[in-house]
Amino acid sequence: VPKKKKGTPTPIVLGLIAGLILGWWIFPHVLYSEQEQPVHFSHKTHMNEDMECVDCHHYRSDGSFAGVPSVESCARSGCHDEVLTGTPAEEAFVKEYVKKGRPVDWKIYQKQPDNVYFSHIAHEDFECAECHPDVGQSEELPVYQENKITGYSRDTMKMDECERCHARRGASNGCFVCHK
Amino acid sequence: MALDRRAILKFIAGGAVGTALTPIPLKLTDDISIWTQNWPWIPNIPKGPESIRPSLVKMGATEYGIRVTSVEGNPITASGNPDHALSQGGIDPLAASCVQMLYSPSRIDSPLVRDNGAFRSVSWARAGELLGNKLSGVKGRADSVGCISGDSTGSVNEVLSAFVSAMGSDTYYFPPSDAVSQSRVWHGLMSGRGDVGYDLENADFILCLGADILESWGTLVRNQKIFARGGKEVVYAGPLQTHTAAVADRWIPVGPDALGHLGLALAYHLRATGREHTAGTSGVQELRRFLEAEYAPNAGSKASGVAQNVVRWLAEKLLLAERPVVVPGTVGGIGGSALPFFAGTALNILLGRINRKGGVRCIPRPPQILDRAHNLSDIRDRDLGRYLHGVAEGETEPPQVLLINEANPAYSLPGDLFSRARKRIPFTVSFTPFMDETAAASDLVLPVPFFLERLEDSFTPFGSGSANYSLASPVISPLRNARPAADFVLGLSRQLGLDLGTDSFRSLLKTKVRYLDADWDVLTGRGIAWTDRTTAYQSGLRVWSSSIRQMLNAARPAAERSPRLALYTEINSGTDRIAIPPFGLKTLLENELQGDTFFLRMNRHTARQHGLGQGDLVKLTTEAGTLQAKVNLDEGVMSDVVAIPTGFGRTAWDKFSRGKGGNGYELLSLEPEEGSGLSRLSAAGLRISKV
Repeated sequence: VPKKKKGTPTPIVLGLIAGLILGWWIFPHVLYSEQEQPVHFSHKTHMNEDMECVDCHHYRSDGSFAGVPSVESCARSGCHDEVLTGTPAEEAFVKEYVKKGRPVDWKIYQKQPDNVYFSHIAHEDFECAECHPDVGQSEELPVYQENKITGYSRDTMKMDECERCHARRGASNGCFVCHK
Repeated sequence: MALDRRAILKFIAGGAVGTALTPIPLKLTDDISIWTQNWPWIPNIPKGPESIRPSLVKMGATEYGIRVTSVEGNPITASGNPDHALSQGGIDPLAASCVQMLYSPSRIDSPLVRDNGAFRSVSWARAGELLGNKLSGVKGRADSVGCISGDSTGSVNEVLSAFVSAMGSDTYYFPPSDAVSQSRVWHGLMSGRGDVGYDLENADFILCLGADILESWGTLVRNQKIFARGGKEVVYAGPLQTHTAAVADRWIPVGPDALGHLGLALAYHLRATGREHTAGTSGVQELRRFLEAEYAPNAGSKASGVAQNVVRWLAEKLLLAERPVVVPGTVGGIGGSALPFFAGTALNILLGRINRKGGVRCIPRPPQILDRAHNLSDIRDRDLGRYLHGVAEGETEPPQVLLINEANPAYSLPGDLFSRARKRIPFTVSFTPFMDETAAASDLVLPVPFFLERLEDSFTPFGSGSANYSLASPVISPLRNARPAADFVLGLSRQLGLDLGTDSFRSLLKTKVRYLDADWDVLTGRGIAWTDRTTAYQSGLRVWSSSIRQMLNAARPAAERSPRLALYTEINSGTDRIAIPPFGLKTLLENELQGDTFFLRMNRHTARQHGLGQGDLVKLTTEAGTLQAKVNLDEGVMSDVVAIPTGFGRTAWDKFSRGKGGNGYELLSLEPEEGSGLSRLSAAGLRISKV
């Protein structure tokens, strides 16, 4: 039997390393496609000291969450009804969306599927950044990563995260709490 | 390190261990499980601002106010309207599916004209021109145009009937129903004024003489709300345990054609006690003599098939109750013979329940704005079956053009009556949102908006306890290239040089609202109905007509033991105007529909007589037609009765409702009833054979 040279990795170790590289590095890159948002948006530019997230991402009068502001609200109050700053991104936004009355097809990072009933207003005592990325001072929107198998965003909150928080805070984990 | 087989196997083993220590196994399993739920036909729930607007149900059953919830202007669901007197927050299963029907694949996209046997899409201008040319040649003739309207409460009837009058014709009908039979009896045989309404809220004893008040009769949702409040005794008399019978205090099995006999047997008992109310009523002596001769306890029991002691018990209940009321009708709400309606109404008169709290309330005639229009109350007195029978038999001159507004006579008239009459009518036009059986057989199909897409009104649906008027604005613009029938006909009138007395349907409704001293904004904004508790004064009511003998001679005696057919209606299976919606299909049990075969109901006694068991496939044959069904053994059906649900056996519509079960109406034949001006529906010669 030939003797193994000292310092040479055995095939089993090489396989192990290759498996780890595949699983931890290659697999995520293959599983998720990276997509840009259709419109460049800077949270930092639109924020001042007094503003809070709900000033733009507000609740409707019936308590439901409005989500991303509509194009109409961007054009309201004399902001983007016409080109304001003259940046190419803003010009494209005004031309393609405001003038045409076309809604922006934003890619939503954390949208729950239809079989989940989630009420934002029931969770309003939390800081937004406890569940969402803290993008309030960012110049760029994060890259949207879509799972090629499920079609869901990579940032979609999974059920175990909901359950863990519910359990920790004594909220019910009964099926019909979220699955109506 | 040599690259040999052993090394490769070791590498693979190492790779497997390495991979197992990464997220791959769990993540792939999780993602694949999610992927298996992502089917393309699963709808996405629209997200956006919600709004709620009132509307008015018009789906061929009773009419009442509902609320429609929309997301970003798109209706997503319907619920009851707590502010509407006939809804009180309730909604029936058919109305609950109205949003689904809005998007039904059987909606018609544009006007269609029959060309060499197939439909061809044409523009509205071309459709108007085509119909205008047909009508201009026959203008002024009594046989120029006729109309069948499936909407018996709306102002669209004013426009359509005014048009028919302006064309020189008076041919205008509603399809057969309990409302038509009741109206004909009340006005034609009993000299009643106004329209019959039922103050069920204030009654303490309700005898349903065939009328399935909790499923198919009258103001269905209001009736359910009244029943739910309790405090009244309800007795149901009829051939099967309908939804009313199932929750009533007592069910008295009575053959489908013996309900009139039971009513007259009860009238005998009232007479025998000498406690009947006869003031201001004519024909009392004649009725007494008739009842003495024909409905003495033994004879009455024999005719009705109900034991003497039960008839006596029921009569005593009616007499002892403080505010009793008798509600006559048919099990399926399909109208027909005058006899049960005459008997039931005579009981109410003899009990002194006319225009009394908790009794029959006589509602003044509906308002009429257009001079040339026919009053809704007058139209209800006419029998379409009898008219089409005359046309089919060559006894009545057919109209050159027949307009059919949201009615489905090709499906709901007995046997092949409509197709036989249709052969003598040169041109038929169907106004409908859906490709129903009648539209499929028409020469010109004109799509109208679904009720959620149009301005719509309703005056006092049949069975209401007082006059009421509802009005609703569209909750969404038409999703198809559709036009309201009233507006199209007004345009056609202008084309033909006819003045109907209004420029538009909206202005007609505005005038009606002003006439009633109602508030447009309250009616449409909150969906609150205008109501008026005024009653029509009655004098000279008649409880006797020599026609009764003629009707009785034609009716089959209860003693005859061959099987009888009872058509019953359950609203989740749709109406004549609306085929069973996909929501409705989901509510059917495995002993109601299995694959494409539906079930009839009979009890074990009847099944044994025919050598049948649960699930057997049988063929029903009458003089009019045949159909196949499976047997569902049900002790909620009286002996020698075969119960068949309506709403099945569709031949048009869409894949959700077409070809499921058989059409019970095809087993019926129609005979003009001597003396009443109505028609009897019978399933003469019914035979059951195992397939």
